[in-house]
Order: sequence, then C-alpha cells, then structure tokens
Amino acid sequence: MKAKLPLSLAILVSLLCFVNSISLANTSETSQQHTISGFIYEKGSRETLIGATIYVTELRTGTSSNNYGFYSLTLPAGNIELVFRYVGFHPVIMQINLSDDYQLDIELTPSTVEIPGVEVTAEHVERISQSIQMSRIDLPVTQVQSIPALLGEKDLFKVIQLLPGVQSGQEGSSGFYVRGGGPDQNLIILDDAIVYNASHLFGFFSIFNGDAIKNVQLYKGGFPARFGGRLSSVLDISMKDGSKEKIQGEAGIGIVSSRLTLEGPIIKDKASFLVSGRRTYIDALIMPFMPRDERGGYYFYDLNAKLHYDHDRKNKFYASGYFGRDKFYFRFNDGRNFREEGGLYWQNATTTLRWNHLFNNRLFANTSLIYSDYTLRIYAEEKHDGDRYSLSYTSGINDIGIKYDLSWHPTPNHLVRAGMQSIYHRFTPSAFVLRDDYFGENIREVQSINTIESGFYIEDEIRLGDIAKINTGFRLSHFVHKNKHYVKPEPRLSILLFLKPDLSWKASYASMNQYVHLLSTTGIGLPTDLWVPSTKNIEPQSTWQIASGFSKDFIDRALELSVEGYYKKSSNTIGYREGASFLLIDDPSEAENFSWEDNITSGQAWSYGAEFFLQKKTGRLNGWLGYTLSWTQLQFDEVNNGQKYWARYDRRHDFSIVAIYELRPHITLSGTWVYSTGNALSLPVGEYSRVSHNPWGQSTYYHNNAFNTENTPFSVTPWSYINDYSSKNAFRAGAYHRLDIGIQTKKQVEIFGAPVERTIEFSVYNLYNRKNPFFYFVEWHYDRRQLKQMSLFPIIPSISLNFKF
Amino acid sequence: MKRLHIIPYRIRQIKAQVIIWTPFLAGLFLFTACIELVTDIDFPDQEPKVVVHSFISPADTAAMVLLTWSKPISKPGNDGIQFIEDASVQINDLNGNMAQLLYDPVRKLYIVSTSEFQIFAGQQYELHVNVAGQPLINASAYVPFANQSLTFQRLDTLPSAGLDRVVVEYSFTDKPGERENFYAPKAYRQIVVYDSENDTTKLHQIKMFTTYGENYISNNGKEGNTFQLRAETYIYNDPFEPDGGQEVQNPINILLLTTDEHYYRYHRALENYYPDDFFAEPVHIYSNIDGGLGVFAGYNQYRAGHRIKIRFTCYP
Repeated sequence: MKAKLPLSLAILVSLLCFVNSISLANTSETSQQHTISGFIYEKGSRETLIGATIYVTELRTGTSSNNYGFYSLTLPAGNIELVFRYVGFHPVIMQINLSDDYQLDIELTPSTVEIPGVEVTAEHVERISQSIQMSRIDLPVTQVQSIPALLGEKDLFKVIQLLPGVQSGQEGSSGFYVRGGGPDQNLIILDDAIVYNASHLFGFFSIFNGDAIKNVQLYKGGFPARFGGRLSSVLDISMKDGSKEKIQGEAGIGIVSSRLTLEGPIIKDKASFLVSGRRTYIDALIMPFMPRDERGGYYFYDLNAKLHYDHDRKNKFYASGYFGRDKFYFRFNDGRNFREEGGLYWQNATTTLRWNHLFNNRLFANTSLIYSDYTLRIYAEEKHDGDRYSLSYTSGINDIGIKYDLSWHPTPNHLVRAGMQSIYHRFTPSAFVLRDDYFGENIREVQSINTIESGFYIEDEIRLGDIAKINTGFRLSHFVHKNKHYVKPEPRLSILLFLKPDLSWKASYASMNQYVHLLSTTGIGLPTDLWVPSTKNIEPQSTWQIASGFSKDFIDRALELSVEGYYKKSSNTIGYREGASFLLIDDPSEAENFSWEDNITSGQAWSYGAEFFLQKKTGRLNGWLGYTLSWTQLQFDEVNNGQKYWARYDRRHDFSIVAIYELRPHITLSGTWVYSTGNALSLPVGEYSRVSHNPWGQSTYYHNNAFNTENTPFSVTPWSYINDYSSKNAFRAGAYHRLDIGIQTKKQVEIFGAPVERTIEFSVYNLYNRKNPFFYFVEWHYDRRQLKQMSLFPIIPSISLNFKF
Repeated sequence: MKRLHIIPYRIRQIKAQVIIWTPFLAGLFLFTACIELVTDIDFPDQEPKVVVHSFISPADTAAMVLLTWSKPISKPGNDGIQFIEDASVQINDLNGNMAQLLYDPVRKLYIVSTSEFQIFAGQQYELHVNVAGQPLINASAYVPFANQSLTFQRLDTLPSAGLDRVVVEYSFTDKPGERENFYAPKAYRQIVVYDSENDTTKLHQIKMFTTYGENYISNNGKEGNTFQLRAETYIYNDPFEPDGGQEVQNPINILLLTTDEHYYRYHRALENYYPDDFFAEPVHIYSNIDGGLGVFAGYNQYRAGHRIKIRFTCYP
C-alpha cells in the first residue's frame, strides 16, 4: 500500500507534466525562434565531449551535450551570448546574432594546455544546484588516473567504491554495493552493452582499462526512464572514440600488468580508431621456475577497440568492442602414459554497432545493435593408457539486443526523450559434459533458457522559469520466458526547486524491475556466480526508491555539496537457499535431476540512509569527502527462521576522503582514507549434536557417551555437530580503515626522437599497515577453539611507469 | 646516426635505474611478506542453550522429547551430549488435554505413552519445557493426516560397477487442503542382522538413497501434483546376508510421511548442512523452539511393502 501511493502520485504527475510540456512546446513554436545545434569536441583529438554545458547568458538557461556530444538549443531571435563549458577545459564564449537556424560545432581546449588570459575557474564547472538529476555522480577520468591504487593498477570500480552511497564488498574486491543493493543490481553499460561480470582475478581488479574510457556516470537513484533492468544503480561508461587528428597513444608498465593504447585517424577528421590492450605477466615470470612436467599459472587480459566514422553531419557510425579473459590452468605430463590438465576461465565479450542520426536540428536519434556474452568454464582432462576422462562445466549468458533512442529539444527549457530496447537473452545456468572411457560414460547435460526482455520509455524534462525543473518519465518493461509474460509499469519522477541561484532542493521517485538475477554464494563477485532469468516460478525483483536532498554550489571555492536521504524497498529479491551452492551437483550423472530454481529463495530488502558529498573537481587541490549513514535489512521466509536480519554489507558508517594536490606543474600528490563499519557476518556461537528423525527407531548408532537411540524416533550422527549461529549475520566484523598515498611525477622526454610524456608513479597501499578483516575462521587450539581473523593486504608499495605519446 | 647513439645511452640509463630500484623494492616486498596476517580474536559472550528434539505421531506408541545442552564454541574440550535430566516437560493439545513427560534414565529422554496421552491427526500440540535457571521454553506442532496414495511403479535389480543395486520407483499424489502439505518419502531395504549379545537375528531397515525426486517435499505451487521418486541401494554381500549365489525374497518398504512445516524446514536445513563447503551459504538450522534450539514437529505415515527376488553374488 505504501508503495502504491508514491507510484500513483508519480503516474499522475507524469501525465500532468507531459500534457503541460506538450502545450508549452506548442506555444513556443508560435513565437519567432531558431535552433542552434552542433557537436562539442576536444581540441587536438576531436573526441566528442559528454555532458558539456551550453549556457545562454541573457536567458539564464542552457542545456548539456548528450552521450554523443550533440546539443540543441531553440532560442528567440536576437543577439545572444553562449558559454560552452566542460570540466577540466577552457570555456568558449561566443556572441551570436540568431536570425536563422544555426549549426555550431565547438572545440574546447583541455586546461592542461595553457591559453593566455583564460583561467579555468569554478564558473566553468556545471553547477550541481542547477541539475535536476539527483543521486548521480560524474567521475572525471583524470581523477581516476590520479588516485593511488593497489599494486598501481588504476581501477575505476575501486574509485567508485570511495563515493558516498557506494560500498565495497571484501577487501580488495572491485564489486560494489549501491544503497544496500547487491552487485548484480548494478546495470554496468559499456557503450550501451551490458557487462555481466566486470571483474578480473576473482574481483580484485575490474575489467575496465582507464586508458580507453572517456566518461563515467553513476546513478544511485532518481533513475531516468531511459534506464531499466536493474534495481540499484546504473554505471554508464563510454569508451573514447579515438583521435581524428593525429596518431597518439599511451603505454604503461606496472607490477601486475602492462598496457598499451593506440588511437588515431583513419581518414583525417572523418574516421578514427582506438585499440587498447592490457595483460598480466605473473604466469610468464614464474614459468622458468616451474618443473618442465608441471606447468600452471594465471593470467588475464583485455582488449578494447573502437572505430568511428562521420559519414556526414547527420550520420555518424561507431563500432566498439571489448574482450577480456581470466584463466587459471595447470598441466602435468609424466612423460610416459599419463597426462592431465585442467583449469578455470571466464570471459566477457561485448560488441556495439551504433548509428547516430540527426533528423533535424532538434531531433537526434541513436540506434544500437548490441551483443554481450559472459562464459565461465571449468574443465579437467586425464589421459591414461589411451583411456580418456574429461569433465567440463560451463555457465553463462549471451545477449543480442537492439536499442533505439530519440531526443527532441523543442525549447531550451524543454527536452523530450523516448525510445525502446529489446534484448534476446540466452542463459546457460549449467552445462555438464562428461566422458569416461573406462566406465563407458558419455554424459551431456545442457540447460539453456531463452528469454526476451524489452522496455519502452518516454521522458520529459522541463524547466519552469526560475522556480523549478521537473523530469517525468514512464517506462514499460516486458519480459517473456516460455509462455510467462511479465509487464511492469515503471513511473519515474524528479523535481528540483530553486531556493537560491546556488541552492536547490531535489526529490525523486523511481520504480525499477529486474528480470535477470545473479545467484551468488559469497557476494564477492566470484566467476562461479550464476546468471539466471525470471521464470514462472521466480518473479522479477522489483524496487521503489524515494530520495530527497539539497544541492549547493560554493562557486568561489569550486566546491559542490549534496546532502541526500533515501528510502528503498525491494521485493522478490532472490538468493541461494542456505546450504545451496553452484557445487550442489556432486555427480554429473545426476545433473538431469538438478534444477537451479529449487535452490532459490526470494525475500524482501529495506535500505535507508543519508549521504553527504562535498566535491571539488578542479583546482590544484581537488577530490572529495563523502559520508554515508545507512541501514540495510533482508528478510527471506526460508532464512533465519523468516526473521529480518542485517545484510552482509550493511554499514552503519562509511567515510572516505580523496585528495589530489598538484604540488608543482609536474608533481602530483594524492591520498585516500576510508573508514567503514565492519560487515555483518554469521559466526558460530555454540554447537549441538546432529539429531534427525528416524521413523523406524532401529538405529544402532551409539554416541560417545553411550546414548542408545534404539527404539527412539531419533537418529544421532556420531561426532557430527550443528553450529548455532544465533541469528544470521549477528556478528559484526571489525571496522575497516586504510590510508593510501601516491606521488606522480611527469616529465617530457624524447624516446627514439619522439616527444613523450613520461609519468612515474610511486604509491603505498595501506600505509599504516592496518590489519583489516578479510574473513574469520575457527581453529582448534589444543583442547579449545580460537576465533581468528585473516587479513589480506598489509602495507604494499608499488611503482608504475607510463608513457603518453 | 644520432639515434644509434641514443639507444645504448638509454639502455645504460635504464640499467642504472634498475640497479637503484631493485634492492629497494625487493626490501619492501620482503618486509611485506613477513607481516603476520592472522590475528586472534575473542569470541563474543556465549551461554549454553536448551536443545529440544521431539517428533510426535499417531503412529508411535509414545511421545518422546530429547533435551540436551548446546556447548558454547569457546568452551574447552568436547564432552559429547550433555543431557538435561531434571527438566519439567509438559505436552497438551488445544482441547484441554495435558500430560507430564517423565525422564527415562535408560533412553535418556522424556516420555509419555500414547495410552496416557493420545496423538490425533489434524490436531495442534504444544510443548512446554522448564529448566532451572532458563526462561520457559515453548513450541507447537501440528499433526497432519496420512496420505495413502502411494503406488509402486518399478522394483528391479540393476548391475552396476562392482556391486549390484536395488532400484525402486514409486509415486504419490498430493491431496490439497487448507494447509500447505509437506512430505518426507523414505524407502528401506529390510535385512537380517545378527544380534551377538542374544545370539539371535533381527530385522533391520537400510535407508535407500533417493536418486530422483526430493527427500523433503512441499506442495507449494504443486498442489494436486503426482510426485515421482526413485530410490536405490547397493546389495552388499555382508556376513548377515545369504551366501553368494543364493536368491532370496527381500522386502522393500516405503514410508510416506506427511509432516508439518517445522519437520520439513528442520530436515531440509539439515540436508543442506555442509559446513565445509566454502562456496555454500552458512546454514542456520531451523528451529521452532521459543527460548531454545531444536525442533518440535508432528508427522503421520503410510507404509507399503513389496518383495523383490535378489540374487546375491560373491564378489572377490
């Protein structure tokens, strides 16, 4: 009932605002107006800039460039001043006499390139108090590159974990939890393609190579209607298009991996390419120290590639792709008649083909064809005297999708978006293949499930003078599995009230549904986690979230502050039943009897809290300070006797401070400090004998003190004890805190006659060597047991070398 | 030409840097590797709890309650089962009938015969346990009606690698009612066991493994369904079996238990209890004991038997 009230309100306001906006748009059409539109590029590379602002000084209004760098403003005829701004770039101010429709492409110069008389100040940053989108954080990629990282590996996800409302999982893990939601509730999109497993090395590193990334936006709430399919967050990542002006690149050598990026024009100012690769080399380094008959190792690599072609002003084409793989392997050969090998690998592949089309100066369209694949495979093979035994287990998800988005800019104060997306999912929750020549077994059990997920949306953003901004949206999602159809309406609403020119109040409501689910046993993003769909037995997960808060710009100090409170209620959240795991099938020949649906239980989740975020994106000293106060509880009928319990990653307090300081033009110091309440864990507090019902009463087992269960309905398993965990997740792990520091020095050098910017970075992870809890275990200590805490990373120094050419 | 001079110079420069940095980094990593990462932590405060186990049925000749103490995990030693011998245990139905269960020091449990307190299908029962120094412990259970729709579908012996197997396939049909139904089908192979103390033989039931279907079934979402099951056991040629080469008629018994939800949830949790599986969620064993641990549950049963001719083979 509580959920229905905001839902009904949102639908009502959506309809009213949409009707209102259409009438306003029609009224505007009647006056003398012209449209100015174009693309905003980075000078030097002609890379389009996402989210650059265009401000009309006289009208005190403006817009921002979309994900393809396109903007459109329809304004009254006359003299106007336009200011084009982007974080970390010099602004461009232009005086225009608008007497006709006008096409204006703008190139902005990075602030690293000095322009006499022009200074990058706070005025040049988009004001948070003016943006209707709440609960969104734009992460400058330059900041990601400057923050100290574990083993020197720059990791987008590790930086995201430092933001308020976002929590890390285990120590070192790149999985993240947004406002109490699980890692599978994050929609991670790379150039429109969904990434299903964004982790390397069991979650210690994310798959995103910072050198190939142009833009990162994280939505924690107030989701625009164009996004759907996940409950907790949207992480929208755009790859660089590649420089259209000159060949350039970047290379890096680190302790864990090395990487190389090359980009440049194929046809100058018309077509470009980008290729970026990364690979670890631990396996290659240890290979010489391993015996010749026994080989094993681990590696991961990833490869990003993109092609961009500007056919003409109205049509642009993009083809982008990602492929990455992690692999553990071993091989043994006794040199005579026995050979064995085995391993585990998981891989992601995404491909996106996009076509941008301008129907006219006000109407922009994008069409995307999307392919995404995630596969996990565990395999083992033995050959002995001609007999062969081989076993493989595979699971994964494979998507083919189409997406169509339209954006229409009828007036500077009005933007309408509409579109659709449809994805054909092919799930393989488990596939067993067993061949055993000795016992003559040949088993092939493959479960595959085909589903279609679709969404249609309309979004209307309107500014009501100096009073308010309203973004109303409606998304209709649809999912079909066999004959079972789910159709779910998802109203969205965001409101901004201007209290002062630099202070605003915001509120939002969003309803979301999730039709694909990740079954996770540990919640740390292991590759063994299974993606499964909603079925007639498993309903879609759904949530509604309300958020409200204040945003304030401190213009003189280039600071922006947001304080938000949120409440989120989720239903039909799913998880493994207690005791269930992906290893449930001991015997592959029984695979036909196994159904993953039988191992699932569904429940509810509540999450609420407050977030404080003070950010400085520019200046010699920049960074942020974030604090989250939050509560997250779960309830499953089959877990914890149906009682509510704290989620594993419920954190009462989560604090982070990130500082990047430019000591000299070529020396940058950086540091981060994080503090968070410990995880909620289940820890045994007692134990008792394992007693079950024996209806025959004829057990002949005797216990160690001669308890004879003969002629009783009890069966007591000798020397087998049940742990009493009290309540689920009743134990609170120790608090987590850590300080990392780093120093980067840049120098222009010449290598083989070519000018190269060389960066040496030295960083220290966990500077004061805090022993943070990774997991707990109970160990026998003579005649008693001792609780032990295992920590993972002590103080770890690292050095890396980067070249930019 | 100039470039040719630059390359050796660069190589020398890199070499110099490697010479400077390598000992420094090696030292740092050695320091890191020496850091102890495991630390001792105190257990949270723990007290023993009362553990109650009781399964009541109209099919039984008595209602029995097993009372034991749980052991705090931090307590030294292993004392085995700690029985509670001085508790006050009462059982009652909702019609005003009540009985006190008395401690049987031989069987080490509390007992009341069904001649003194009868258990009926379709009734709710309450259990009250009072242990000195502990809060009053309460629990309730429901005794369902039996389901008699059991059907044998196949009874066979199958050759297998090393040992032959007995296979039984059977089914039953759910009878939907107001309550959710729970089942625990069990198949047994009856064998003859030699009792050396009394120099006699007696019958013993070997539980067969369920190889198709589930050990504990709920009819939730499957109301009125027919459930198919298969159970198997190996034929061992142990000393109490006939000699190899003989053929005997061996009874196979099926028990179809209808249970209450407490029975189902407790045993399903036990079935999923693999404390050593790193990948599995820790299992919290279900309990309906208010103020303690364990389970108080009701069940009913229907039994059907068949015989199969088994040929015992001598294996080396």
